[in-house]
Amino acid sequence: MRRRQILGLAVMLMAATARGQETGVVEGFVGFGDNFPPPKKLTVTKDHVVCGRSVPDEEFVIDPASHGLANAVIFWALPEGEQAPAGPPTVVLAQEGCRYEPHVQVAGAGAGTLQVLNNDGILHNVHVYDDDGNTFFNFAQPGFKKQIDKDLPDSRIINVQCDVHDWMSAWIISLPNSRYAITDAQGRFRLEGLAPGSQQVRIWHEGLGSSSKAVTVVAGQVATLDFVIGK
Amino acid sequence: MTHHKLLPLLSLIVAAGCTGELSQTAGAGAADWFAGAPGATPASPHMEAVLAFRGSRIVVEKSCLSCHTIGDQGGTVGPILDQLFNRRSEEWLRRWLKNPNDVKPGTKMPNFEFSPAEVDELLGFMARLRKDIPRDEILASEATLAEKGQRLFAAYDCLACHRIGSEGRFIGVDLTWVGLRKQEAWEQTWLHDPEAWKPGTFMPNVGLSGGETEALSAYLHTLQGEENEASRRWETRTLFYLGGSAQAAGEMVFKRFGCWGCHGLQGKAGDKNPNAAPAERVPDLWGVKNRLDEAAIRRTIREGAIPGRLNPSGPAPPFSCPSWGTHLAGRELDNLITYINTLAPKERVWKFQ
Repeated sequence: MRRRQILGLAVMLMAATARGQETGVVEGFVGFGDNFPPPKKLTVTKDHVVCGRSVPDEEFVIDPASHGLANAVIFWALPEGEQAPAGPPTVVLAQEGCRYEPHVQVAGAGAGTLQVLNNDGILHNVHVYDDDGNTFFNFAQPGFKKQIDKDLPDSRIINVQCDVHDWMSAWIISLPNSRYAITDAQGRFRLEGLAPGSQQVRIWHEGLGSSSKAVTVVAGQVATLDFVIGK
Repeated sequence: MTHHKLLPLLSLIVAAGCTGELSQTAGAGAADWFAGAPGATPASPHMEAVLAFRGSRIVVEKSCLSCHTIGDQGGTVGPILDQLFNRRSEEWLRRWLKNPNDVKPGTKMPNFEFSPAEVDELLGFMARLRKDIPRDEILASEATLAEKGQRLFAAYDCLACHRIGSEGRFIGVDLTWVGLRKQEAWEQTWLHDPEAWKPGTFMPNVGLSGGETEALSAYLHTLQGEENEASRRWETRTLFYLGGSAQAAGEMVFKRFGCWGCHGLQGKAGDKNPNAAPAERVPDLWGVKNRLDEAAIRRTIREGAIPGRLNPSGPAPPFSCPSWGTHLAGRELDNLITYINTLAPKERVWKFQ
């Protein structure tokens, strides 16, 4: 009886390992060809001691050397019946120098709380918009309130803004059942755990919206997928 | 931090109130107030001053002046608060402070999660800031109707939200050109009960008498822009030349001429316009670039537009678009059109190589 149990466990383990090997990796680059928008600055109109005189416009963060586009979200929806492993239950967003850190992040499986930190010591307000651009909530966070915890809205694309400092904007993309990656400062990404075969990989960027591209994934191998933006 | 300097200032305002005329509040709510019951009123003028002082401390603690102005200090995001109690009822302010988004969905004002006691204290402070409006004295004075209106306009502190020339805020519609845009008769209807014309409007009903609406409408009709043209041009031009985009400068023109007073914020919702053909509404500007070519938009702004009557024997529609051609200077028309062309759902498109 016990031996059969152990045998069953061993078989399950082997199956799990085998499934792990069955997946492939997609690596790539998101960026512009020859023409890309020049960096922009946003004028700071108040609280100069904390906020400075200007902040970079983070809608398009482009590496001048590689033309790579940062903060693009690359994701692949898991097949039906599969569940992404739970990640951290709390999404943390910091207000630092009158900008948000990070500017773009993903709320993965199991994320339900938005924790907002005020490291600036001045009044900010946390104005959270849902998919339809409606206010989900708008709470004040005076300087002495270092941390607030609120429920994340049940939305795909969540935008956070501060009305006290109207240049501030951050994005939280909710992907509870996907493999995902965010492009780094050079526009590179690495997406792991994709099933073999022809897969549709989706991409989202705050200034460009969403799109997708097909890629052929081979188990245990690294496939290349580039999103190069041209005319 | 500048806010540290504000506490003594605000205390002074409160103290100044103490030495002035003391209001006669009935002592009925005294026990409730001492027990900390929300909504209870303090017994004596002395207690009112204590309540107001506590309220002034909340104003500092929560950095209200980051967005609001009291006295001569504060920000420009929200309305000026000095005469707030003359414009809003206590009941309305209680609802507002509980959760502003419930009263005005999408408002910039966040929920501060004030405790009931804090709301009492804030309202105590706001009540103390209020100055009586000498309505009868103004209306009985020898001045012309428009002059009386001007004094009432100042007494109610309409510039707390509205703007004339370089004074006031951008929360309500800019009134610099309102005399050109709106008829006196309509102003009277509007001022008498804004909610009746536009349900859900943020413009308060301050309970104006017939004489007051008449005087205010007469004053508003005198606002035809000319006097303040210099400041307006300075504002829109500097915005353009000092690094602002043509779009931002155009948005400023859209605001300064009060275009959104009829076309709605971002041109998204035209006001109703009874008996105007074809739909009894001022046209939306949202997506207008897909309906009209640029030359037609340019011509309409320059020459104006008078809507036809839906029922030929009915009354003339209250709103028509004035011809702005002679008033727009330099690049203002170009910038305005650049801005109007952006009034459409944002196009987000990946174009891969």
